[in-house]
Amino acid sequence: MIKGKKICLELADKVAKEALNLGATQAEVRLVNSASYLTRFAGSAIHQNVGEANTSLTLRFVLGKRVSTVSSNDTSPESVKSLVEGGYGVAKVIEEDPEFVSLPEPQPIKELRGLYVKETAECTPDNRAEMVKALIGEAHGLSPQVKEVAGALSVTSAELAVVNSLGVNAYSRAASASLDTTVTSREAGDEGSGTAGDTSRDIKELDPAKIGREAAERSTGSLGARMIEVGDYEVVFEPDVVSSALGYISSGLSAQSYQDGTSWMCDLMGQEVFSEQFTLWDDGRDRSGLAFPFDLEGIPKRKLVLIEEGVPKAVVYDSYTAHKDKEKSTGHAGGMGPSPSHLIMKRGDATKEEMIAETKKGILVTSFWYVRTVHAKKIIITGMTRDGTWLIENGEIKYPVKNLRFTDSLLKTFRSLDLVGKEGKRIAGGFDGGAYGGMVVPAIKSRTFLFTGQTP
Amino acid sequence: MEDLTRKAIETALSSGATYADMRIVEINTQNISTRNGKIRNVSIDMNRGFGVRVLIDGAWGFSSSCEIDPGNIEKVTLEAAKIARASAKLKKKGVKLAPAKPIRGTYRTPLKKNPFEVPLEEKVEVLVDADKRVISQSELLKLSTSSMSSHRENKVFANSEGAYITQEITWCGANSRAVAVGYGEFQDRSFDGRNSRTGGYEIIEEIDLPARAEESGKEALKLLTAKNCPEMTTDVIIGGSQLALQVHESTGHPMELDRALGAEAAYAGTSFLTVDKLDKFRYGSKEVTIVADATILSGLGTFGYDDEGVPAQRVYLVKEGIFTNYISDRTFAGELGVPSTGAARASSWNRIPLVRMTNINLEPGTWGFDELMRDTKKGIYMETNRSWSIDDKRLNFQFGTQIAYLIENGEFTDLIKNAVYTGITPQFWGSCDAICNQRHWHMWGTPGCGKGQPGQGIYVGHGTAPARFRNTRIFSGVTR
Repeated sequence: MIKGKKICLELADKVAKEALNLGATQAEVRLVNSASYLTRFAGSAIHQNVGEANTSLTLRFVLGKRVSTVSSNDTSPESVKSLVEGGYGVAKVIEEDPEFVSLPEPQPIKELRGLYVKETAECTPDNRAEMVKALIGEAHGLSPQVKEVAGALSVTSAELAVVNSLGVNAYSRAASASLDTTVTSREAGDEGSGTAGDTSRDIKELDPAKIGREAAERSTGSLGARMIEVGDYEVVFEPDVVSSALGYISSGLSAQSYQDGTSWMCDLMGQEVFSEQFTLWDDGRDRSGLAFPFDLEGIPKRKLVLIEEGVPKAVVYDSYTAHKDKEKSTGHAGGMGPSPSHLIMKRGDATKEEMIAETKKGILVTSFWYVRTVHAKKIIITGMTRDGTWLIENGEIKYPVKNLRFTDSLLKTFRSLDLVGKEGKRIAGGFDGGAYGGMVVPAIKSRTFLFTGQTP
Repeated sequence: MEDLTRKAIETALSSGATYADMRIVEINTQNISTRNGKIRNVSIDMNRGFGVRVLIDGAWGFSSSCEIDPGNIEKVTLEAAKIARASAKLKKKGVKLAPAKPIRGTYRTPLKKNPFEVPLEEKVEVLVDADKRVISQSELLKLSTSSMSSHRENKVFANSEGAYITQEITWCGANSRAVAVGYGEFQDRSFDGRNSRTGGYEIIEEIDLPARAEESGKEALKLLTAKNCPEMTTDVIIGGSQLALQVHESTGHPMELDRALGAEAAYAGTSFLTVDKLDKFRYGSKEVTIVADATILSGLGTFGYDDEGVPAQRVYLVKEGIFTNYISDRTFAGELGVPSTGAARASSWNRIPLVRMTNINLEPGTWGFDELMRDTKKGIYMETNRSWSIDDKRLNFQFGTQIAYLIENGEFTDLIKNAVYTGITPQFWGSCDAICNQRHWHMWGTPGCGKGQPGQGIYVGHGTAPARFRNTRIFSGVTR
């Protein structure tokens, strides 16, 4: 249940004032109030269906250069008192952090309207069941080969308030809905699977039938998957794969990893690292993504170009890492240090069909699964393909292939980009079901990607 | 509390529920972290609330809230009932719970020293000392991070069958990570979260984190100039900590019954261990016996009762190489017509219990470590996880480790960095021909095993000893 701007800011302010009364030299309070519902289905039936209402308070209690963080989801006056005392209790006994300078100064935040869509927030269990029913019906209707439909419809409404004793006083609310499915097909002892999904602030924009049909087409098209010789191939990556890859590239775009010397960017800032077709920025105000006006320190979002025509240009800062480099926060405070929150990759002009047509011998990949870093400096990752992998030969999809393991450097893959898709797909990210952020990414074609194994 | 649980259950039953349960949970955590000898973060969190699960017309509904008062309990329970009725509109077959005796009981983690009563200064001193012992060694050791976690969960469970159980679970752990940067790359060595166990602060005292961190720093430095892993098929001895993750990913997850029955198909994936394989499939060599044991002292997945009120159990999953049982809860065991193995676990008040690992332990073998080394003519020893990946059916895996040593004629030779091994689960476990004995066996922990939508991170344990796997493919994760 949404509490509203006045209640949230007053409560956060009250906690901050209590901290100052107890001796804090600075104080910051973050209040998150959310209601989340998720209808999960498997075997073409709803099997898990859950709801949650929660309110949490997080206090940064600053005593000179001593900083403690305490949090609680009990907002009663007694609990707030105990929270503040806890913050003081910790701050007074710990050592100073010489690198802490100050909480951030306030900056004007331009409101972003329309992030909270009433129809999304008020979607009922019956509404969700109807949407799931439509998706399942469409998937089964495509082919008798479709045997099982699984997935989840999640709906979140949330409000975030950030107050600090230097004058930060930020509030916004947002809603988001995501619908994803994986369809399993079987025929003559063979199994195929396909996936599809969408996310939006407005649940009316989600089209369950379209999502069900798309996943079912991928699933039936995956039947008869074959083993192939592993090795280096051209690749066409669907947007979900690009999103997964950008997640690993973006971990090096944090000022924290740059300052630590563990980022891939450390020796490459300003150099031609990637294809000139690769431009990446972060913009929390761009409504093509899941826009949100400020970060977890209440600092406004703005457009920040991180990689321009293949050249790394910038890293993202929160106030702590910014002070260390004598910079200003870029509005990217996250739960665990600074991180990009609203990545947008510049679109090209190719359709998926054109990318396939331009591929001599390659692999079309729908999804990555269980991706992990093997070597952070070279952004070498490993993982598996999933829910739709096909061999392309001489510009045509030849046949589906069994899931492949890859182990390769994204520096190399994005240096070898030769086509970028003209459509951008919105993909939810962050916590609370994408209420506060996500990505917008196109499909890509790269000249090289190394597949190192295959599941029989 | 019993008046509150009664309120929820009576409300659920009067709304048409054939079964209902309620959990009231309070979780207190304290996390302290340092970077290069300075405090980076001290955070203390208290999180409490309740969740009500109701079964109406054979379908589940669940709702939860952080506001624990009788009026809100009634409201949330009615919402759970409404959700269940919506679920029932799109069900295939009704849920039939595996039977469970309603128990009135209590459980408390045995511990010597309450971690929340240990002075903060004392804890910080350990972490700062650990960092300083790393960064003082060399300028190439650019980063040392250390952290300590204390976790206490108090929970009440009651159901409409008459169960009423209270539990207090406490666990602790401490980690350190040394990062050496130079020669165009970085290498890290850590003493990681796999050292968490249920119990009190005595667990952290036993670890001697500063000494471990110092050793990690030395190894990280040496790794900068170590040789890259050669590409070959060879015998691999996997150290206990890495083997714990191998067990977790390739044994624990595929033996979760909900995965095998398709409930996780769209997210965590399914399992190659389909139900037709039960009691006949050769999962590993005859050396391999694996149990799910929620009763063992100090395991991170040790408790008194699961989150459906089923008592903790010790169950054989693999007996002398044959796949013999799943990890299960009442819902999926009921679907299979077998008893629950007591593995329904929820990460907090706002999540439903799912089929989760408890302590999944590879039983010790008979080999001494020195004896195993002497018996290995050519191979590699690999330890401490660096990267991990496995497919959605839990067949095709690839793990990278932080450190490795080549073995020739029973002795360690070259130090190796960026080592990776890969395989297919049953072939890999089928190639296991030696497991070290009880003396080398240790309970490791995985504090944040993820599963489910919405996501749930839960703490599980793995007992392992170093073991040898014949003819395993290894290569360098960097030179490819």
